[in-house]
Amino acid sequence: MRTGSSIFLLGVVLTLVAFSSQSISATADQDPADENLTSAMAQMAATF
Amino acid sequence: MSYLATHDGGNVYYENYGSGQSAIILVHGWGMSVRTWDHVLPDLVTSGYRVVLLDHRGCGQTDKDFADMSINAIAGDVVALARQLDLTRVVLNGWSLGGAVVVSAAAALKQACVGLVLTGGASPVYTQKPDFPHGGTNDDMQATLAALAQDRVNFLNGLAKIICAKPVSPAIENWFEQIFLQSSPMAAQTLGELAVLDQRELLAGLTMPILSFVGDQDGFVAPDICRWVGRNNPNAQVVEFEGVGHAPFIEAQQDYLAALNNFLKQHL
Repeated sequence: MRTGSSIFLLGVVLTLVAFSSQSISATADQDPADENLTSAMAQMAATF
Repeated sequence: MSYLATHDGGNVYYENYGSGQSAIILVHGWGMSVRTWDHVLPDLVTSGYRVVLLDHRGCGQTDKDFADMSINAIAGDVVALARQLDLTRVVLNGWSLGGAVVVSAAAALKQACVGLVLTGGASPVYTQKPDFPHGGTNDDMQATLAALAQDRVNFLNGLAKIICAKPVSPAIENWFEQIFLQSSPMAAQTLGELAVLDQRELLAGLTMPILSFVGDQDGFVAPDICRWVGRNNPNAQVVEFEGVGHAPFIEAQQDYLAALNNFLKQHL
């Protein structure tokens, strides 16, 4: 049971890490004028 | 517990480590508190510096019900605290929105401010202008304020997870979230002011040494905003961290502390 929980938690962490990395990669590739249009905070706001 | 009594009847919480008339004052970012400097504070105290920290209006243990939550009002609290503690040589270090606060405070302190540090500083401008192509748009800011108003708890939960670009533990994310939740919803007024902020003339004209820390993956304050001072003020140097997001003092702690200590050794 404990092993299963640990694997589940690890999966959550890896998913969050992957999400963060993708967000940042998208930001880094933008022109300066557009860089914050896909910023982490703006992306977060857009989901609400 | 130490509090500064403000001119408009409120109380600003501060912490004061060490003694003497020289000090570094640490000013946190929007919605945060003095606790966000916990990765920096022990090292500075151990190095022998007097360190002063304060909570913004509406944040941490400072009063929440100020009528004036503006960046200039918070800067006024920084100046008043420096004078109350009889500090004659001060280095100001502002993180994120705290960067705009310390730029304003540095101008007011004049010669008493012997150095300025911007850590992912949201200055001189935060949203795009016709002649400033960096940062988000006013629409981005309005969307952020709307999200905060609509679902503050979940928005701040999500925000806490993406402050850092480098992987950090869930405990760090939870720590950020808890600090966010300690702030008042009314502190959104301060954040909204970033949409109209323009400190270009002020920042370019400051004459003290300036150090700007940049995380090249910062998703909160566009890196080119943090780089601006290096191109527009001859007294400024920029230290950039590769692969780092909005919290270089956590994501690149040792390099951050080394550069900060070097700056303090030279100027404080």
